[in-house]
Amino acid sequence: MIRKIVFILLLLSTVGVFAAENEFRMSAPNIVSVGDQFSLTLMLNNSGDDLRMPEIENFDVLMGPSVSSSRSIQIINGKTSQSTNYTYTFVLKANKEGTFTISPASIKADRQVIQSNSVQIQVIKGRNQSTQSQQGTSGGNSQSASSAEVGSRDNLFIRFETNKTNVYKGEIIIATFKLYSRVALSVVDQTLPSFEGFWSQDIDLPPAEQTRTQEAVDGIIYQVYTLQKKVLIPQQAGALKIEPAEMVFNVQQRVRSQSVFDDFFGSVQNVQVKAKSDRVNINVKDLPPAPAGFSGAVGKFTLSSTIDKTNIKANEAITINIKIDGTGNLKHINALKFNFPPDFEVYDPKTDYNYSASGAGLSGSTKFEQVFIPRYQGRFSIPAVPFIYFDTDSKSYKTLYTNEFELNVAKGDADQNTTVVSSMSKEDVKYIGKDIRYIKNNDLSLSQKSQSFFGSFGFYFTYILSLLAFAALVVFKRKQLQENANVALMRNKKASKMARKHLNAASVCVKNNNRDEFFDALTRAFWGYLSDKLTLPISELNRENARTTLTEYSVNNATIDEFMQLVDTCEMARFAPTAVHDSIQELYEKGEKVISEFEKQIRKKA
Amino acid sequence: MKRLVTSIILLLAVVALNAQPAELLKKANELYSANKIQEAITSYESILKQGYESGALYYNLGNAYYKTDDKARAILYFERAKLFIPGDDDVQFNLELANQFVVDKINPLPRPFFVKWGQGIVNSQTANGWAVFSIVTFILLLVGAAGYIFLNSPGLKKISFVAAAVMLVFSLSTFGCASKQKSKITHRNHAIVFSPTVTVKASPDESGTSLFVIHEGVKIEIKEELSGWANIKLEDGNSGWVKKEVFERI
Repeated sequence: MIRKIVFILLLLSTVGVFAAENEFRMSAPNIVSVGDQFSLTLMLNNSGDDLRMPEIENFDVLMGPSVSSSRSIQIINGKTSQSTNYTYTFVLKANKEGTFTISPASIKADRQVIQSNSVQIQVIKGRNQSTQSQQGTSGGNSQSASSAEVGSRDNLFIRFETNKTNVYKGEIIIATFKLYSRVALSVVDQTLPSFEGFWSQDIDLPPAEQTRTQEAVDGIIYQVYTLQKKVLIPQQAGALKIEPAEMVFNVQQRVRSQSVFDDFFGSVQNVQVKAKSDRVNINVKDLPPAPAGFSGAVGKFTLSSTIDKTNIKANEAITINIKIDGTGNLKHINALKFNFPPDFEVYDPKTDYNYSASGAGLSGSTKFEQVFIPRYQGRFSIPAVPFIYFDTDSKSYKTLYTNEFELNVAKGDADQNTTVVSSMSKEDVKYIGKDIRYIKNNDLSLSQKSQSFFGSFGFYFTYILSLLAFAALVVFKRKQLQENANVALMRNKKASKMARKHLNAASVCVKNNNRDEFFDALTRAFWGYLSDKLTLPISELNRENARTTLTEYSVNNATIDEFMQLVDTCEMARFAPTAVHDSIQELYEKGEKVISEFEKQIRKKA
Repeated sequence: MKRLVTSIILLLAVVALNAQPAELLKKANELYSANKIQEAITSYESILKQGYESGALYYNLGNAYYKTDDKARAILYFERAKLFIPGDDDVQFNLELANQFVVDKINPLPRPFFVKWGQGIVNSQTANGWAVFSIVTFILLLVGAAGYIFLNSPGLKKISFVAAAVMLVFSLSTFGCASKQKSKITHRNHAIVFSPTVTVKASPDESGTSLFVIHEGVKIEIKEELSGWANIKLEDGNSGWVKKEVFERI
């Protein structure tokens, strides 16, 4: 409420305090009406001479220059500083409408010629000029009447202005709260509207804006004070209303009195006046359909992202800094969500707002500090994260991306590792998402519809084929067996015949008394007979298996012994003819007897 | 012998004809990989239209429909894939996942363990798989029989006889399994509901008592059909009549 005090001043004073070196300033009201008298002031913070004024056209110079000077000496902690101010004042009168410029004046100070600035003055056609002049004379017939007049809209009103009335949700609106007045007043009370549906923030007014300016409304020139400037950000769509602001002022009013003294000095009375601003309607449009990932940022931004280190050991903390610069609803930007590898330990991001409200809206930056700790060694990649905002200039969504970061995490220190591991000796596998399994890419075999191997001709054919093969095998094998059996039978039948033939040959030898040939023939008769009879090849026959085979054929042992004796004798005779003395006639008879015994005894195998 | 030669030639001809749809399938898979799901679906469907099919094809098509959020159709094609590759893990997994999107929670009737095991065994192979088993065991049966006939040793004879008997049982049962699997494909008496919501009636006409409501994606068994209506049975044993156009046979 410093402002209250500041605004108590309501005199036409242009005195400012300038602490610069040599400064020469020209000032005049920026707007006057035709016929008005006003002062043009030139101020120098030093003593000077040789003031040269430019040609002042379009205005009548009624008076001037009148020079006044002020001087101040300050002693602070024994240090003396002094300042001198020289003020040159001209009284001008506007003659015609238009905008006119008064060129710079110059002055000599400290042997230097200093140029002042130029001023621009707008001259308007005054409306109802009489009101001001009447005020003093016929102003207050009664107190209530005068109070109404003094507080009337012509003399005093407040206005609430916004730079836009048709905005998008989240777009910044600058609202200005101005007091227009032509009378001296002081603020008693003010009720500012509650900005329902808006987020609001005061703008610190720069000193230049805190001073008053002149503005013409409907041909009347008002002193205008900017009371407050606010940044408004609509938080919801729809027709939003800003309720009127109310202010109560004390207005000084001259009261006419009977007393001559009063008349002379002017008696002044304070009258309370209420002023109310108009209601402001703001149409807030919803943003167009937002792309996925839009979190409500509206304005104009740039984005930068940095990481403090990329080569680290496991269990060390890393920080990613994100800075979003620009103008817009910086306060409403949510921290960007990084897609960290799943087993990173991620902390909540720290958000740091650093912005200021100014005439342009909110500008500055929002910083996010994201700290995380990789727990395992390896190479990791942190993908770029989009930051989507609504650009109020192009009325479209724009996307900025953070950098993509590659991390190289080395194995952590042993002791750190163990502390981590001991606390969670085994981890469950984290399921991050669930989706169907991927398509089968390798199996490209297709079959005709309603065609399957089962039940097909080929299927049954395989059965039949294998069955036929089996049958053929059985038949073939049977036949072979049969044939084998026939050969045995033949040989069996032939055996006696052959034996007899060999025996006959032997008997011839007996007649001729040819001993060598006799033994040969006899041996052949025996073995040939056995071979045929027992269906064993001659090469496989020897004494042992002959004995076993004969036993199998249930030949009695006496006959076998006799046969063996005969075979032994024959062999002995063949290799040592002198050792055998038996008569061959006897041997022949014995052989005949053995073979006939065999014929009798050899039956089918048991 | 001549017949065998001709059948082999025929088989080769079929393989040669197959080359073109296989190419198409490969292309469709590539489209799917490139995330052009809609085009992939069209390609898969065109292969089906040409009269070709396979478990992998149905599975991939089911996946594509799953991606387009047509869960009922995805279930249908996963079920079809299951007919061709019954033991496949991926099909089972995806089918279960797709079924989670079905609104109705249907608890299947508890079945005795031997029925479950039996079905598990039957479903572990396709009709063709069982057919091959049947033939192999048949040939082993013949080998056993030959052994019985021709072997001399009484012990070996006994063993081959027992083996032949066992193989006979195997061959017959695998033949049974094959014909069961085949009949599933040919008869297809299961279906998936496609209407978003279906009221099941007690009798095959509109005025019948409404029994219960089922939703898109539910698997039903069709017991009989009657003039545009079908008698259906749910896996929990409830049954009733619905119009034929609300479902599609697997």
